[in-house]
Amino acid sequence: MSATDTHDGFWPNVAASSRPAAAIEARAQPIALEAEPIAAEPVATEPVPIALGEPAASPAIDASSADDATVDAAAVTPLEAAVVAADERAEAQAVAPATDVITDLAAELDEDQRVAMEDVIDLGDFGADPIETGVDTAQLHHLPIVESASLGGGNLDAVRAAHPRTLAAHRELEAAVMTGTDSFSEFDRTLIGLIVAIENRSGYWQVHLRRRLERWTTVEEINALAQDWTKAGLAVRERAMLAFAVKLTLVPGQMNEQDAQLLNSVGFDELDLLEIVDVIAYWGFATRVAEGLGVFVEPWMTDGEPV
Amino acid sequence: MAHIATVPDEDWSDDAALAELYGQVVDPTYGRVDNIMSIHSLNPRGLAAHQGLYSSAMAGTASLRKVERELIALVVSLENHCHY
Repeated sequence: MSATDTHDGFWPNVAASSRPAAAIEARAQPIALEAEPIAAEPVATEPVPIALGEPAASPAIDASSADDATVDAAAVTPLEAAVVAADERAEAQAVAPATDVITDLAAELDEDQRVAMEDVIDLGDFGADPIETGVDTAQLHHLPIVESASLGGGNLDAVRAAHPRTLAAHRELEAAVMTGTDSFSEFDRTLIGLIVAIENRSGYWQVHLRRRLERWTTVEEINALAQDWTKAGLAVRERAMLAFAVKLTLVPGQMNEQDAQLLNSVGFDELDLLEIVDVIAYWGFATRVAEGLGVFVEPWMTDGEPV
Repeated sequence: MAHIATVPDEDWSDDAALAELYGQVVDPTYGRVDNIMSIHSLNPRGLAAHQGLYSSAMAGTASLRKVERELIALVVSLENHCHY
């Protein structure tokens, strides 16, 4: 491998306490704070129909009526409602427990403490206290196993066959990111997929990934993982990995160096981090393909049982 | 600064897999590899897969123009609070 860029990272296993705290804080803080106004302004000031050069689809999103304060609320289109809902969701996620919990945990971990702390750090408490976090964690970790409008559409490959080039690209990406290594197994990669599918309410992939996990573990253990992975007896290494996956899935704009350090502190190296992010991103992509295209679960995946 | 190391553009020629990919991922305007691609440089297979997916998804067609695809990308980036 060629020489690599120098960076002030912590790989491999450089203790957190050896890094300048001020530098970490300076890098981490602006990301979360600057994201809000940038996300909000274009939605309010740049109507989509103007940017696209398309005719207005309805009076409610017609640029000519954008300044009309008397627009009837009943004329709100599904698109407008979706924008409002997305804004509300983004606002709610700004206080997601993952940020504080992982940041606090990462600040406490270093290599010398890691082994000893494995026995006392309970990542199972991640987001478990709604009083401290201010967030109803039932929305984060106790989601229904199958809850998706996708359970009545069309088979994924059949849908994608209409566009062979992207089908091939999708398949190659999956093969590239899902091949297990000694330090990041295919089981772990598949487990990430299931948790991302649950967080994204993708019924299609929840069913598929449950079936895949049966290669390594029992249905009962898979049920426990899907119900609440934080309390399913996973090692601290895997719980840190999944905590990272949940945060990256729900609040990608709030990721920071400390999140990466958390993974390093439980034994993952730089290449592992790259691959973990690739796996999480792939399942974010795959779940959106399935849900966005209305893909249904194949009958043979459920032995003919309704889902 | 990224959380992991990356291979500088000028060293890609030292690695057979990266050298083969260079022509596909280099930005022709600037003659440099964008950071979002070089972040994959520790894993050339993953880099190639992402480039393949990006190319297939972002190539414009008559019914979905490239500018519309870029607009989707912008809005998704805003929703995800992705500064890059």
